[in-house]
Amino acid sequence: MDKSVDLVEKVEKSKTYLGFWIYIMTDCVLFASLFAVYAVLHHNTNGGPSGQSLFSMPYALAETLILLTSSFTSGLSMIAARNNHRSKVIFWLVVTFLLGSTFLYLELHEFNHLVQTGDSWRVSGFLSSYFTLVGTHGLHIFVGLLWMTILTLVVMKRGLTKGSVKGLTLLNIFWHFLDVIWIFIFSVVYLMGHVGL
Amino acid sequence: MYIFAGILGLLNIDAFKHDLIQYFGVAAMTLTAGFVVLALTYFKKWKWLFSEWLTSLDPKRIGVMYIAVAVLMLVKAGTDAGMMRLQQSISVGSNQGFLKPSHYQQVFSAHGTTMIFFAAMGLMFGLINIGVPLLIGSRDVAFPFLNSVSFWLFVAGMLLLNTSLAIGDFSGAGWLAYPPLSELQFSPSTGVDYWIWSLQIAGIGSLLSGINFIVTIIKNRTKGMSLMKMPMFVWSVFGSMTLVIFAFPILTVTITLLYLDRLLGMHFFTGAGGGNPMMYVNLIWAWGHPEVYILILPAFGIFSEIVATFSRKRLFGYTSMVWAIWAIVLLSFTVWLHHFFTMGSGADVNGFFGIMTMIIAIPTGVKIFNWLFTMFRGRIKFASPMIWFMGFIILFSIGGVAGVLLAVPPADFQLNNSLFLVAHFHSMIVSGVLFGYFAGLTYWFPKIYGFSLKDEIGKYAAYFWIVGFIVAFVPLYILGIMGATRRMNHYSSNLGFQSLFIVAGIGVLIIGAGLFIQVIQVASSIRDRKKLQDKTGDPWNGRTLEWSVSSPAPSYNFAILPVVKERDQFWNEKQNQSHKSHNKFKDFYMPKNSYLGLVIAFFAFSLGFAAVWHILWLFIFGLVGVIAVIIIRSLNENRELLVTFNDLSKADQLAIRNEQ
Amino acid sequence: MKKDNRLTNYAIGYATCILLTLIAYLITGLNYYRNWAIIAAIATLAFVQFVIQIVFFLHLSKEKKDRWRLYVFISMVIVVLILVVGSIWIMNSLDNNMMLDQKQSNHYLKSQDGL
Repeated sequence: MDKSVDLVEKVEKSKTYLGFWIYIMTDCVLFASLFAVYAVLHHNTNGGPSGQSLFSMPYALAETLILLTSSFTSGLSMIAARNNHRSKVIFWLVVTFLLGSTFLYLELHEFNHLVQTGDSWRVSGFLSSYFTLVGTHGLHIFVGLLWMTILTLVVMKRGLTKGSVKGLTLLNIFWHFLDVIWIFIFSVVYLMGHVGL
Repeated sequence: MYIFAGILGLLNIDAFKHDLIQYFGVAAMTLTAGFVVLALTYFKKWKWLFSEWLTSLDPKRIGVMYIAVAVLMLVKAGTDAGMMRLQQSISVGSNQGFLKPSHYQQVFSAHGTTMIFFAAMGLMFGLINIGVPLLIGSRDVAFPFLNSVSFWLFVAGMLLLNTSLAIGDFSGAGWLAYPPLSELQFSPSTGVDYWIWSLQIAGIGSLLSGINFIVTIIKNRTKGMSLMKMPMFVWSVFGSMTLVIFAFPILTVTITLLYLDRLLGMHFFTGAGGGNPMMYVNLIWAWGHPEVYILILPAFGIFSEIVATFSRKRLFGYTSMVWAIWAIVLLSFTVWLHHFFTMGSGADVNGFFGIMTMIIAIPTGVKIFNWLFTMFRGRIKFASPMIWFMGFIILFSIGGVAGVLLAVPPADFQLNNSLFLVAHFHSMIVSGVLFGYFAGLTYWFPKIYGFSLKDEIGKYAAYFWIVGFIVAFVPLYILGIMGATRRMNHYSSNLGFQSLFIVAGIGVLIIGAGLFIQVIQVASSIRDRKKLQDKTGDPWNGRTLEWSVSSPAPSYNFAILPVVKERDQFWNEKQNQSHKSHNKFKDFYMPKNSYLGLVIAFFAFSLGFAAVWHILWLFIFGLVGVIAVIIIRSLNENRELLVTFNDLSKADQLAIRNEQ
Repeated sequence: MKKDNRLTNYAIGYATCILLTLIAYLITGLNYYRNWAIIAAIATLAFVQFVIQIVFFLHLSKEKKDRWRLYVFISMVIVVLILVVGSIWIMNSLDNNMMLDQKQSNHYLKSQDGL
């Protein structure tokens, strides 16, 4: 039990942890650029619909709560890793994966709906920036889910080794960060969009 | 609109049709590559190349490879410059010159893009790789494999850009590809896509290097080296890499959005449909301004080392130099609008950014004075690095005050996008970035190769560059004030421009001679390397830790990691003749070589090529390949090699035995 | 942050974030407050949730082991603020001075046959 805590502590002091954190910071600047573009372009509806008419608030709330919960369950998998509970780690990873996949499915469903009704990214600057901002976040989610799958398999096969614990710690930060970005997407794109900003 | 159509996408036989000059360029590139391949085959050096260089994770080796690529790109982009000068010397009145407008546009676009992203960035990362681990008393960077990946992505981007000469064409929209010109409507060929993807790939390499060197500086410093004991070069790299990590994501986003406009019909920067082309200009310069500081800061750092070493005096004002670096880092994010004063923002916006631009000149001024104060009452040795420095001090200061003039918005309304601007930024980049990195190459050459470059020849190279630069660019300052715009491929004869353009053309020839002399310097030094051998490891009577190891430096740099108690410790130990007894030798781990960097570059190039030509299967192939390499590498838990006493170099084994 | 309390910290963080999310959601339904007040409230709630997640989920603190992560984080925030606020200020100024108004836009579209 102590050994696992040590492994996690070791990762948190490591160069890899700091390096990955810095990468996350660069990803924040990436999203900030996309937000800046959205801020500038979101009124350019080119005669088409605005966010107010397109977005469903309950739907967005559901997505938000699901992603938030998945961030929590990801944290639970880390706690299990510290306590050297291999099966619990796998369990919470799977739960996180299911929640994350649901989130992504809901998002893709919403995108598909918009495209089918003719409100695609080709229509206006607003829709281009909406699809790109939210879509980039979704792409990150997809990468996270892929990573989660591989890591789960590694933990199943190799157990909680130095390498797999490192991977878990980094994935956990990545997943939390994606929820942090979502706070802003939810607030700026959906909530503020709904009240007409 | 077709996103991806057919097995070859948009590729067809027309992509291979070019005009004569372009065929000549392709032939030159092919012959150079062919010559290298032939030489390697004849001397049976393929295995050596693969195991000693291409798969090496030694940052010194990676650094040399960066520099080799950068110098090649310098020559290519320099040829572009020569073509532009020639065109502008003769294309007056009824003479249309030898480059038709569409070709001329590609030439100046390729010139700028290649110089900034591949020549300058390449020299910079090369020298950073060579210098930083040695100067902080470390054996390697924080993430050696990532370092290799960064280099190979740089190569992939370079190859993609050069492919545009042979297959298809290049962007004609300048080195920054402003919309609406760079949008599909006005640039329907794949040229802009080549520009986008070669930068995208190289840019990711740069970003990864930024992360790598920041962690290296934070975590890999040897025992006792606190931040305020680091050499100034390391501080300057710290500042530059901080700019890299925060600026490059902006570039990534902006050029991706341009690509999305072109590929998927989005409306970020289009004129119609709710796009805003001005937003592109805003974002690209939010990256672009930090970029120029990214390039110059390590050059400043090199000059700090060189001035102190060759004045035989410690660097004046260490603390203020550190503050100046961080002031520059912060301020470089607050000036970017000065690149588009004329786009139409209000006086409040223009005024704010104009003032910030003037303020940013101050920390640079602090550095200039500190270098001069370092020289004051020093015992100066005017070796060629100091000649580069003298050229820099004068030309950079002149260019700098031209910049302060441009910082005044009303003045900029007259001078923006004139040749005055062109002369200003070339003054900064050539005399600052290029001279700094040339000086650095001369300075660290013996540490890498074990012999020095012939210094007298080096001085001539510097003189030719300095004089050539003045002859090439002073006319441009004058032309700018006379009203000459940049990027002209023809002008009327009654403007009185031609004689100045001809003088500028002669200047480029002088610079070319300088470059040629540098080649001679290297070739001649290689030939006489036994005579020029660096036997002590300290050919310049240096101050910093790299001079405490033998030349060439062993792959692991330090057999026993140094313990640092003060700045310029190596110099102080020499002065006091005090030789600290080292710790005992301990076995240590070094990273194993890896070919995966090469493999990632192959897939990245495929992905980029596919993105340019809209070849879906190839895009997926490249993407899957990159992801697969990442996964394979992450599952590899066997990455290191143990180095024991017997693996050390003979010189190190001897030194350790003598100590004990 | 004590190691033993990690679970408690996560739970507190999670519960608080749900609360903040729901409050923000419900506020948007309140039509009898001024728009700018609602927007300010949403922004504040988002900011608070941001800090909660940074501290409780991403374990950022002033402790020595987190010091460099904190510095890089603060630097990032500064850059982001400059970039986003700066861009909005600049683009706003440019749009006011340079973009077509409705009348000019219609005239232009007509001349281009509706594009």
